[in-house]
Amino acid sequence: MRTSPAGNGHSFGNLVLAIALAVAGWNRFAAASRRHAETAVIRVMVPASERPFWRPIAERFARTHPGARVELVEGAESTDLREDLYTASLLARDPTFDLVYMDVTWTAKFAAAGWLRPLDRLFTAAECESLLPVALAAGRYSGRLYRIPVRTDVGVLYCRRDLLEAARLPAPQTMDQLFATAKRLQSPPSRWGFVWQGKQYEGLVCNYLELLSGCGGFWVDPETQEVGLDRPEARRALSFMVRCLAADGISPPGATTYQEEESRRLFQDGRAVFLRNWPYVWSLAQAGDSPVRDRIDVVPMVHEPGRRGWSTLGGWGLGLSSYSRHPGLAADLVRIVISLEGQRWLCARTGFAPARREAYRDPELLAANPFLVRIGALHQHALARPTIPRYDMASDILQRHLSAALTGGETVSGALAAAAQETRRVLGPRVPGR
Amino acid sequence: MRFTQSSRERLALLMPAALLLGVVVVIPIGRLVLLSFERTELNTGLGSRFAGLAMHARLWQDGRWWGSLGNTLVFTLGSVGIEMLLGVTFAVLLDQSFPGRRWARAIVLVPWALPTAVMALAWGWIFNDSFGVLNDLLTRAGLLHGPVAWLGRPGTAMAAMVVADVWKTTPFVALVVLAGLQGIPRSTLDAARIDGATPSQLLWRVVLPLIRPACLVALAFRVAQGFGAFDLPYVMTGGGPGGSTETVSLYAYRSFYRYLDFGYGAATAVEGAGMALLLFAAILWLSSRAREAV
Amino acid sequence: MRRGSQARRGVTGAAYACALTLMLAWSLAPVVWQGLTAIKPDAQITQVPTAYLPRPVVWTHVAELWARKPFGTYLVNSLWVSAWATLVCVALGAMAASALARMRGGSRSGVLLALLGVSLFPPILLLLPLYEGVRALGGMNHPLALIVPYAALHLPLAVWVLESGFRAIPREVDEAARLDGLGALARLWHVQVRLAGPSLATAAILVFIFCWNEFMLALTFMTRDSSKTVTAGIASVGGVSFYEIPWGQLSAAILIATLPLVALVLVFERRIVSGLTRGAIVE
Repeated sequence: MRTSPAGNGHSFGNLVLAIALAVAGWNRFAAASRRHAETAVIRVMVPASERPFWRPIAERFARTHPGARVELVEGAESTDLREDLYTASLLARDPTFDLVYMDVTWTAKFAAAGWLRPLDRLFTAAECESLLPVALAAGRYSGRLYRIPVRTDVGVLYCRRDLLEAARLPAPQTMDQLFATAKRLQSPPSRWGFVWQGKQYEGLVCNYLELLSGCGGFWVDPETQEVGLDRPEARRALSFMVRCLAADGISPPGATTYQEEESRRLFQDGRAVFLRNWPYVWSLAQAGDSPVRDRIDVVPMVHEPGRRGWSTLGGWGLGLSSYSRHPGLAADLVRIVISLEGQRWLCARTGFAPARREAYRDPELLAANPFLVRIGALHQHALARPTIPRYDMASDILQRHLSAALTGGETVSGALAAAAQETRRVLGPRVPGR
Repeated sequence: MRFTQSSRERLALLMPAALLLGVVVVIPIGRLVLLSFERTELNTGLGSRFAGLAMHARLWQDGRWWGSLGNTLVFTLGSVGIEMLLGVTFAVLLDQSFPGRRWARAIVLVPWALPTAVMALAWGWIFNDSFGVLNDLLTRAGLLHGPVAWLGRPGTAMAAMVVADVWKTTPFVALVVLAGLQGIPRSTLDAARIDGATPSQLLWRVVLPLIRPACLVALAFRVAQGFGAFDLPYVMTGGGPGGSTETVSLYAYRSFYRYLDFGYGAATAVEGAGMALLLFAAILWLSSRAREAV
Repeated sequence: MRRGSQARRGVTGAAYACALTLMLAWSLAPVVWQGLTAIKPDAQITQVPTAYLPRPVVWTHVAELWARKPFGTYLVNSLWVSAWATLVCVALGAMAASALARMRGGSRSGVLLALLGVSLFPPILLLLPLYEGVRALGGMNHPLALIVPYAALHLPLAVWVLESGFRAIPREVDEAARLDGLGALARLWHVQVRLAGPSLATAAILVFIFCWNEFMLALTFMTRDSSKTVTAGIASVGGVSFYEIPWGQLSAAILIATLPLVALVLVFERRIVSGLTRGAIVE
């Protein structure tokens, strides 16, 4: 039944072999970890996929700053993982990273923890004014600037131009128009009316905020700490989402599990009429093998009649670590990134939306990415998420209750009332007056 | 007494392991336990202040903690239960001799050899309502009319997570139990066979009692891992929908790294570990009672 | 009578073959699916209705991935770190287990439960203290920064597995060796390790795979390409933009990470499981 004995010779031989290999291999690592004792090194961790586009910036820095160089540490693709890495490093007061390449929502928390240096003195007013005001404002916390925006992201509504034209319908502006148009043009399950991101995660908050503002409501006022989630506007915005998901609605039931990619794939396969997503979809949907190539359009997000559409502001910026040993040099690197040339290096081939105002009129960038014209216009009504230190907590509360309402676990008003109450508890007492 | 090792020898054998474990794991855990009695958060500028049992008291009033504890219990009991049954079955199957057994053993190990974070992503897509291969297969088989959003409802989302976990970790149980099976001396089996035991008697009366220690090892560590489930809910559902799949680990992680609420995160982890220990003790007690009853 | 039992054996054989097939299909199906995704053209990955077989088969994902990232280096690093961690973990674990297996009653269960208790803490929360330690010792990007924690984190499991194996060894064998004048370490090596081969192999394989798949520590401590392990490498596989999930390349990365492991398991299986165990008992 069992195999026959094979003797013990092999195992001993294996052990000797293993030890020999072990000794031989050690040196390789020792060499790799030997320290470079020399010039000032400015380190910043960027996602692996972005590193090639940061290289010219690093090269420029090395040329203009003899004796110093930039090390682009390759981080994970996932935002959360990179935030964890930065958090671990900063908590340990570790000077490894001079610059923090940060998401728009990290600012308040990192600043409140004392991990970032205020940048007001390091950057002149003129330098700040060259950037998109809304993106710059998202880097402020309690009156000081902690983050210089490098590139931005805004939520937009993609639509199938060909379908709208064939039906002689205009692009929708209000929520009701979106619903009616989507309803007319859809034929589920082969083609849905409207897809968006409904999974319990940060993206759901972004989706909801756009509708909330489109209804005239607000989430948290960062100055007064006032919470607006139990107001009628908040209920109207959530009711619209619930209506989209209803049996006679316009969104697939699976929308409550979608992140950006799931919804993008549906739209790009020609299986959705409208899509709420970020600008990254454009270049993928317009790629050579895309079934919807040249059949799509971008419009601002829908809203209630008499109001206007809003785009949630996303994007990435640079903060200066409190533990950096070379703050001056690090600030110089930031200057290169936000220079017109730096923005070209970073945005031309990636399709990122630049943070420098002038870049939206730059012929070189516009030639590489004509779509920028429209994105630029959307920044006028971009909506920053509240810069409060406990943003993550507030966001998680909202995510849970929104998700529960969308999946039938809670009623619209019950979910929002609970969310408002929990958010107030997290934020503490209101700041009286303004 | 003549044949037991001297206690000095025993200590010398235990020492290296104790040292390594102490320095790398026990000291950090000790720090976590201490941290759970302090208030260390953004509001205190990340400085720590002694807070007694305040963090633990806050935990006991926190609906989200109880919710996550309930989710973790359901997840652990569901997945570990199925894994033990399947794992023992797999081990018994793999213990027989048949052509290509070596390959079969390697193949059974494959799910476990894949990085969880990536496979969780893959399972998420398998359960996707529009592109998911599961919906496609079920529809083709005529079992399903119209797509189902498996991860979109609390019940099915939890079930999907259990399926993914069972797939992923049954090999762990199988391997541990298989080692127990192979440790059974051939003579024992031959003796039972000569005594006229039928195969099923052999299995139930001889083999299963003998692999009980191995099963216990598998069970203990599966309960621990199940209670610590993190990657799977984090990637597959993000704890949703409506917080219905948030586990204790996920909550502790979020308190700790996202909210920088260290005292509270530590309290969550400490109490979570305590609950896991209680659960394991309960399972042990029940199983020993069941054995006595037989 | 005899024929009846043969027929029954035939039925059991068929049932057995069925069960075996089911088991293998269940284990392999999602992996095969992933493998097919790796060699599908991009457009077919999310095609509806589902495209099961790639048409045409494309190797671009694998080739691109291999060209873009030094996966060869990652694999060598993973192998190196995991092998050392496993060696340390199993060696120390075997020593502790041999002592425990001869202890009885309360103190033995006490130690074992304490070990289990240690592994009940979510490992993710240990990241921070470990990070501080590694930083303080200047161990970033050094393989020891992973080897030591890996060995420690999986020590409880190794001890439990080995102890249950050692305990199954009849006491008389140990006594005999002791009377022959062998010391504790010698008996561990000559008696327990030889006789508890399956447990040893199991502990080694389990720990090795745990190390191979570990992810958070690897990502945090290994920031250079030259020292990254394969799972940390996979985490940095991305599309052109942050939101995009490059399915083809991700699937290819999984294949690259897993195939060597399967090959290794195949080798371990033959050399250790059948080699050590049965050989020793026949002695």
